[in-house]
Amino acid sequence: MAYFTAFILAIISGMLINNVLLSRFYGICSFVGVSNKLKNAFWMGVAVVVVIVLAALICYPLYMLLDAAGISFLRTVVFILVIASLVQFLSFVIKKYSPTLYKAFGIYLPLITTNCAVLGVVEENAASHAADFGAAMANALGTSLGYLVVIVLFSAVRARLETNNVPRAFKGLPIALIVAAIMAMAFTGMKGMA
Amino acid sequence: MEKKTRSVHAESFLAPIWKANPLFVLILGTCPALATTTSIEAALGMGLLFTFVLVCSNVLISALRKVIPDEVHVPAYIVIIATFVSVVEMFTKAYLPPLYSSLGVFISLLVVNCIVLGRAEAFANKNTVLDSLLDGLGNGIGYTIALLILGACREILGTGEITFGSKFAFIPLTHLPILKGEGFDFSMPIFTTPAGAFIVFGIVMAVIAAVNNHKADVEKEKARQERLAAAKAKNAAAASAGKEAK
Amino acid sequence: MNETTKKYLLCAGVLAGLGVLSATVLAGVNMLTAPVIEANEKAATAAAYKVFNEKLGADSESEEITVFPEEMDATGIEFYVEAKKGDAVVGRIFSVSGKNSYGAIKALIAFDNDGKLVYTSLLENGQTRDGFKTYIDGINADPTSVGQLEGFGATYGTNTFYALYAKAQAIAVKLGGGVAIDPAAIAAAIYGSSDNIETVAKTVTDAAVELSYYSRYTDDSKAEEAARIYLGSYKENDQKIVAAVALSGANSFDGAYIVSYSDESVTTHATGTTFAATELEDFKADALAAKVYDSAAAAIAKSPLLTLASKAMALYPNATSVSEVVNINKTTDTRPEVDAGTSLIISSWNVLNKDSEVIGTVYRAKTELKKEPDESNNDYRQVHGYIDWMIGFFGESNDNPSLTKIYTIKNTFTMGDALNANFIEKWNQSEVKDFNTFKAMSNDEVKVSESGSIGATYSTHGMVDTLKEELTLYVSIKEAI
Repeated sequence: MAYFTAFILAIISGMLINNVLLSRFYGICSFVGVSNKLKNAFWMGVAVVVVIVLAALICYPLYMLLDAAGISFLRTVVFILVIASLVQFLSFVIKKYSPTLYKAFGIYLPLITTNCAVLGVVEENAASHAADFGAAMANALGTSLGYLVVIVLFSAVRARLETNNVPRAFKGLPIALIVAAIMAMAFTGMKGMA
Repeated sequence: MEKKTRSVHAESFLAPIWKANPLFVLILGTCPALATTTSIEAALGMGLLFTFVLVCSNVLISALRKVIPDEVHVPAYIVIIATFVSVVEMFTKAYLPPLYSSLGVFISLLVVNCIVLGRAEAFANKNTVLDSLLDGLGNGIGYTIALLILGACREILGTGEITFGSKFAFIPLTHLPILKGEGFDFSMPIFTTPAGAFIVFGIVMAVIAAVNNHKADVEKEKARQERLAAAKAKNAAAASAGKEAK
Repeated sequence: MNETTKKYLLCAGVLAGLGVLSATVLAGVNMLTAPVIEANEKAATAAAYKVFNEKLGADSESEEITVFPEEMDATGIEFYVEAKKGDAVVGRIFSVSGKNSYGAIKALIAFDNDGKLVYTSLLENGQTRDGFKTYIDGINADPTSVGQLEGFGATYGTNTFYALYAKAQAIAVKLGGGVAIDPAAIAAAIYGSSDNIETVAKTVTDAAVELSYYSRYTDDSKAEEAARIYLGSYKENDQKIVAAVALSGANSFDGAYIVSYSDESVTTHATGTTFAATELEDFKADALAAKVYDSAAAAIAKSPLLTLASKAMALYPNATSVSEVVNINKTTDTRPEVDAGTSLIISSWNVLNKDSEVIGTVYRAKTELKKEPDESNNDYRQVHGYIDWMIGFFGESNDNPSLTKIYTIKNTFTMGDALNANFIEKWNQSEVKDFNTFKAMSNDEVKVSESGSIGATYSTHGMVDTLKEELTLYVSIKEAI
């Protein structure tokens, strides 16, 4: 039971306290680019969750194998190939079963390959040797859910920003970044939680 | 008067340094820009590593562009880039451990850096090795400059002083007090936090946007004046022609 | 071969070739850099050990030892290193590793032979948070703060660290020949019971020996100390004693217990010996034990036991002694109305002046309230908790006796701070303090549910009701005299 609470705690910590976007800075490119419409942002986040969890699931035993064989220096190459194939496979599946969803994603689906969050989570799991499988998966879940939360929040805010009177120089990206700064400050407030 | 056209070589080198700066204009590679710019040294280190990876991958991909079939170019590029990144990571871990522990996982994340992949797709597989080399250098320098600007703002405002020698251990450790020194401390630590990274980046982007807006306004005004002058001249010509006709 | 197979072959070939090339290059670089990396790590740990050795006064350390004493929980402890000065072991440095919410914590913790923390430093903390580093620095500055785990950014990490610390310390104590201090066991040995014994020791400053004490309370409200078990540690001429001396007053010896004594030839004071309250002279027969006793007696003389009797006495300026009233009729009042609670008068003291005349009577009561919101009456107030308080009566009048200040033992009301600020402090500063004033200040006449002001509250009404009970008791006893 204690293990279970530790698991949930790790998820919450990855999600809120050490938030992937606002505190660790993974996935910023997609963050500033895609999040304008709430619906798109939500599905993008969901896709990222799926990819990160699957990638972590696959790469954890792979890394154990590499480490045992002493060739852990090959891990970056292996990880990124796994991720790229995973995204390729996923887009194939989505295209087949829901062409509308595929269209909605557009180019953002293949772009998940270059999303730092995916590789970042997988590398983190590899780097912390003491992490067991549960911790690795908690990290993956927490990170990806954190990404989803922030990206949805951010797109809602950005939608409002569009209609507001923003000084000319700040229009578009700069004001979005300032808003992200405020969100980052808000999230640091959760530090004492766990 | 026509501007002298620069050679393609020079253009591919110079353009990305400022006009087409990968971070500030194309808005690519933002993850490391926010995460590793807590100090000037870290930013410089990241920029140099990035440049190395970009140049090597550009050169190799360009050299192999006729050999790699189009269907498998994505995994091929990935393997090439990942190899260089792993090499760089291992060397950094061995010879510059403080830099390694400060940059952490972001060295590995160079693999998915949009700039590296982007330049490979957009440029290196279509151009000669020399051009790809110059393009890589240009982008690398441009990105490093951008990182340095962010890093300088964050370090000076956040810690009040510039520290040399903490990441590059072969430089003796020196502190240059600017906002913080004996008896006074105007540093604002928020700038070393993630929130501060967003703020600095946002403000720098806003400043650039303001400068560009101003330039665009000046251009527009100039064009308007020219059109006005042309219209006036036309009227004057028509009037004088009309006068003569009378 | 047709075009498509040629294409496939080419693709496969290119990919395979690239793969092989990549693997070769990486293997080569790895061979080159791996030894350098290892050397770096060794240098880093060597540097870390250097700091520890300085703190311990050692000049060399042994190899890593991974064999731990049997039956000791050593999960998370990777190895320990004996820090030696010449041939003697002066301390042990433990390398511990555990899980943080996001990564691993690796730390080095050094204990001396007595199991006292000497120094600790982090080797690696996945994404170091400042809060955790503050905690570590705090421990190095003040080793007693290791148990204070509140208020840091990475409390999951600090909890993990504390668990590892405790395990390492237990092993260090066992290996170093020290003995674990268990206040409950000591209390059981001296008093026959380990109830109401404080688990955290309080250090005594400027004592002749290393001294700390565990309070023993009268009941589990922990309001009063019944006695203190002083734990003294003293070293002289290569002999060391750690002894527990129980005192319930400056000249009141309850017993003693030898936690450890290094000279095994002294059989009277061997480890584990208990001395009864009558055996003070026997205890003091040994010079080291006597030193511990004197130190403890001096400490308790300097800062006497925290008793309610002394607090009761403090309410009267002319008091010189108190005597507890035994067989007090502890009234329980169970009024089921919503704006009252259970008043319980717990104890009472008669306060005497230097001529042994009773100048007043102090009552200690526990006013408890369990009031829930009553929506049908638009009364949304909810008051839970109790106040454990003392007040003294004096003077001639039976209808309107004079009252002393209020001494609050414990206040757990939901709006306890407001009660304190708006009523108790005002009362204590008021010029006139008598029964009628108390009723007025607590707005006894005003019904709480109709009052809009802060003055009339359920808690003040509860206190007034308690006071009325006390008055009844006071008058009845006075008239009986």
